[in-house]
Amino acid sequence: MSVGPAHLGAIRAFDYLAALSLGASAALGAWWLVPDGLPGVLAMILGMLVGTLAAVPVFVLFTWLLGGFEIVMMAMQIGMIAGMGAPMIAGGTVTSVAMAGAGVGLVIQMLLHALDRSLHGEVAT
Amino acid sequence: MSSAAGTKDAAVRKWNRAAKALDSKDRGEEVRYGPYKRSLFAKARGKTMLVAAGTGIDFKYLPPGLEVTAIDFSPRMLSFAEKRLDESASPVELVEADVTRLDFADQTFDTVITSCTFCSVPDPVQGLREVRRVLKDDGRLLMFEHVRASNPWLGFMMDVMNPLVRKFGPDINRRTGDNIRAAGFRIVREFNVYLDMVKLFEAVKA
Repeated sequence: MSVGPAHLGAIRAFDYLAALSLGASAALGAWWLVPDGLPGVLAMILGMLVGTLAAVPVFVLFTWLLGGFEIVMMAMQIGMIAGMGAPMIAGGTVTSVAMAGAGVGLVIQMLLHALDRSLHGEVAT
Repeated sequence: MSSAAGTKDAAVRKWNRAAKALDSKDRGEEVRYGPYKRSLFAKARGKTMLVAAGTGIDFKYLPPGLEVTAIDFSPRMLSFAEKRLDESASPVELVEADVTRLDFADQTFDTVITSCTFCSVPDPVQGLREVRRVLKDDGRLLMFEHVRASNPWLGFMMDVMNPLVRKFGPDINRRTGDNIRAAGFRIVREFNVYLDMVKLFEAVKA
């Protein structure tokens, strides 16, 4: 069973755009809202929560545009991990934090994409 | 009121509330998964029951030549589905019914179709047992469903998120393959659409 390559290619490009946006929003949210000077572990836990929440508006937008479990799964991972890492960035700028978050998003989406390629298709019954 | 009836009433209320926004939420999913649904539903034959028809968003994937009974336990969903009856290539009759307690006689249907259904049925194994009862002995169950991922990390995340997600929509961590077998079916085909969490199943009576 297959769907057209143009159909799949457009959706895949959209998924990567969503991943970059989710990562940037989660990282910026956590970087702005988690106070400086917190103990490292506490800052990471708080960043994880704040990052997940900060990614929600972006998640809602991308889900409305071209939703699916692909967006759900990446948003769950990216919001948490980008948010967890962002408070650890010392002396960052808006641009550098957004790029770091987008990088996290990119890596997670590449991993999910690779996992999907290994699982997609017929399962032996 | 019994606990089961209370659970069902709560589910009906939840899906009545969700009806209006459901199409908007599912718009993107249709772009992604529509081709898979169309190819699966093309295997339907004869008298067919579409379980949890929702707003009728799947009517357009039904092939011609069927006699379709589309059920849903949410009257509000059915009121939306009524507006989509002409999208189906086969005639569709809408019936308000709960899949866990069907009024149809044994062995009524040649095919039963589900589409993101058993993530929402409060008692999925009981629902699938009822499906088995109304399916003919040589009938076929065709399912497009999302299930819990087998990857330990992704599965754990789905377990963690599920209590929040199910307040507004379906459960995201159901083990539907196990439920199909527990209800007395044999899975003859399983196809992973996305990871191993969005799947096509084809099953027959064991």
